[in-house]
Amino acid sequence: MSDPAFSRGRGTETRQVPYRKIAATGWISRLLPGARSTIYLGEDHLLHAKQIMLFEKYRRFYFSDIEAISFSKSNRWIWFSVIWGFLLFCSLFWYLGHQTWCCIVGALFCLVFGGLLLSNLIAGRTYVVNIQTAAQIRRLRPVERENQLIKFQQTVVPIIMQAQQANPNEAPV
Amino acid sequence: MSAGAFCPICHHLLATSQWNLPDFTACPNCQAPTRTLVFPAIARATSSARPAQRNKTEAGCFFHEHSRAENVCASCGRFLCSLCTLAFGTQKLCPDCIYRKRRQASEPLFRDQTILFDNIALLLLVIPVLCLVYIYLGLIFSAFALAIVIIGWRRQRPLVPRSNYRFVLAAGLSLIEGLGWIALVWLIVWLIQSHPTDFGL
Repeated sequence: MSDPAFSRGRGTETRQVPYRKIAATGWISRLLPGARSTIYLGEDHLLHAKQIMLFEKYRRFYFSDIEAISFSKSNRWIWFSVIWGFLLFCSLFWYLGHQTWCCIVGALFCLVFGGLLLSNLIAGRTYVVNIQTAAQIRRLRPVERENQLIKFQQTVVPIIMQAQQANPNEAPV
Repeated sequence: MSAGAFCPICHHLLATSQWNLPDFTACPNCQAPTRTLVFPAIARATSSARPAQRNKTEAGCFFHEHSRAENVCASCGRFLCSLCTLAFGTQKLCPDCIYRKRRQASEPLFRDQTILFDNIALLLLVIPVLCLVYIYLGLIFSAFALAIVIIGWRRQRPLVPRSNYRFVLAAGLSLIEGLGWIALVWLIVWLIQSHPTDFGL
């Protein structure tokens, strides 16, 4: 039967929605349960996938429904720089030991914390980014770094404008 | 229903004069430098009208018989007033159909979460080692993990592309842990049998 009134869900089970990843949280977030999230670009919506250990939760933001994207500058990147810098400084104390293994351990710690400090500085300043529809306001963690936010805006804003100019009278959800 | 744009940090309502500015402006409440990109949909949000009353000659809404039908549900074909019409992507559906489709979770568009069987299997393999109960429960946990890998390989349906390497890793680790447990127990038994006096037997 082709009547939609008689069609049940099982028949459409195999249909897959194509998604393209446009932003994701950093690799450190893989170690923290609930901190890993990714944004995908769908045909007519953004998909925010948040992984909470054993589950992956999805939030959809239809381009025609997005009301606003707000972002505020935050000082998180400065605090992270201070923490990694302090730990890097502490790692230098290993070189006070005169044994070879002290130097090796010190070098390892310096490499780790120096790498973290460098990656934090390269990633740029941090923002708090919210996306808003009539029904929900969600924080978008994957685009909270400056470079990611700029790319996100360049990708998404024209699509949203196009979708909303195409259907100016469509009823909101 | 939202009534404007909000500060991401303090959730204070921002003035319309702060919308779509090229530079950051201070939030009136928390003073955080904030920038807001507002889209035309925000104007629609405040203009929701009550559903129109129907005449005797007009079709009525399935859920509200006194309201005029303005749409047809794309799934069940019921007549819907403007209040009951929910635009879900490109489709217009009734609340019942959305509820049913979300419960069935059959269409990808209506799924809002998925179970990650590969993560469950990996967690089952890590738990006995971290909790230092591997010697007692290692074989059971590795068997469970292998079963979950076999079940989850077909049943895991993430909406987004996800590699199968975690399944392969979990299967390999479960075999290693299981065989390791058997070898460990065999070694302990052999030690007890060959040196019973050392164990007070």
